[in-house]
Amino acid sequence: MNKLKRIIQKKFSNIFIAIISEKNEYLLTYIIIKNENIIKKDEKKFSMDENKQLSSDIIEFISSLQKKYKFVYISYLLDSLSQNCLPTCDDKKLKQYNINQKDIVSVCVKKTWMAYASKTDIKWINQKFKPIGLDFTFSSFLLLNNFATNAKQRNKNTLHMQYMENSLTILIFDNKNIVFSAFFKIPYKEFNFEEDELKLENDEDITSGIELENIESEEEEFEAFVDISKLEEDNFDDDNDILSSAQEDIKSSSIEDLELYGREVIIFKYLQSAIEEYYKSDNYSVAFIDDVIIYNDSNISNDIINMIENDLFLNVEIHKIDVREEIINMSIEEVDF
Amino acid sequence: MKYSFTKPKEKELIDAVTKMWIGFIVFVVLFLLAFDFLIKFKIHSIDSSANEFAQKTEVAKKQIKKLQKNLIFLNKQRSVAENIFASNTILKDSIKNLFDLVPNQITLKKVIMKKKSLTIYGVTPSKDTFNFLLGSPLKSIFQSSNTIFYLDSDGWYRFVSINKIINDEDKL
Repeated sequence: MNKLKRIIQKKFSNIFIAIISEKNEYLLTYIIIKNENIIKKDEKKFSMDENKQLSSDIIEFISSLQKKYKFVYISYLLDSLSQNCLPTCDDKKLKQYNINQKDIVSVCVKKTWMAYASKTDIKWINQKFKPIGLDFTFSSFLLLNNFATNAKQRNKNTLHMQYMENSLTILIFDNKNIVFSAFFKIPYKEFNFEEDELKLENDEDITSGIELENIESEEEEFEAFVDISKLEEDNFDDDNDILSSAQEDIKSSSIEDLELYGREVIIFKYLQSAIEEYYKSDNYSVAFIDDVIIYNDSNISNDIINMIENDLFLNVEIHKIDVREEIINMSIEEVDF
Repeated sequence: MKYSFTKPKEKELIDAVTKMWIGFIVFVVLFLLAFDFLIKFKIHSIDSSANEFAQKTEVAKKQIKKLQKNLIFLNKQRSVAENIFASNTILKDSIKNLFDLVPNQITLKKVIMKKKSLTIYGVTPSKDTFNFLLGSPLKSIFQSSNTIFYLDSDGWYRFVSINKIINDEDKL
């Protein structure tokens, strides 16, 4: 019965929509497939409303598609911090990692490791997309895993980093299993340098160093819960040297350049903290990282590449990717189309 | 679930209202088909019974013809029987009358009765006895009445009386 339905379904127009949130807008790519041929592909941008909810524009647009076509599949890339990975697929082992199975939704990969996310976040996202109905919610890790699998297999130990406008996803593999994973959100808030500087002066009690709560506890190593607000501030705090040099440059460079620079610093710090965590941990079967492959969905500046190469002494390889296209491919695979 | 944390919403090929319509149409079509079948069945059974009745009619018609023939035959038979009965009655009456006519003195030996003639053989004591007692009534009944007498050894007369009714048509 299901097979017959699929065969019939293929004769109709099927729309696969990939939505990601970026800065203060939703980026949407959709393709229309009929008889296994792509008959249309288009991209759209919709701004978020004040509460970061779906604006009426996007609801209207997708509703019109849903009215026009029978088979509309909407996929969203999860950008919540509650997602991470575990090197097991066994639900019984979750307790070892201090995770309650009831609190998470997980997807097993190759029967060796799982990507998970908090049930609350999934519910919240479903609620958010209720007006249009969400079909698939994908983990950034699975997306990165797909890119990493497609990339050439290499002998050297490699750190895979998926760079998007508002998030960083990091995976390190050991053979086939996963040994390290981290997810960071990049704050899109435009930097007001002076304000932050003032803040830094006032908040003297802010400790230096990145406080990834989970670093302290071995059990929570995989939970890269990052306190964004803190990080944001921490970066400046931690990176006072860079900032001070930046401060010198500020007079000559425009505010925009400065904002960009701040962003690069944050990304660099995230990467650095992840690598530090990876090396510090006893639990990881630590191998020295030689290469970094950056899967770039956004515009990555040369500055950060230089920083990684010069300060972390890693070889950087850049792969240009299209996240939304991959999301669509994943949703097509999910539908078993 | 290969990648997704969530399951896709069920995409129906046809929505609920269309399903209802299709269900309704299917029901109506089935109903009509059943009705059609019923009607065809009825027509068929009526046809077959009509055929049966037609055959019966044929048989009945044949029987009617046969019976009519029979009836005609029986009517003929009846009329013949009636004729016979009537002539028998007449004969009976004639015989009775004849025997009534015959006086005690005269003995009849043989009587031949035909439709228009009467021949009597008998014995009479004398010619006159015959002539008075039997001859005169015979003459009154028949147009022609001839009697021949023979004298017997015992002195009585044997006689043969031939009487005929002569129709006027015959005369002509």
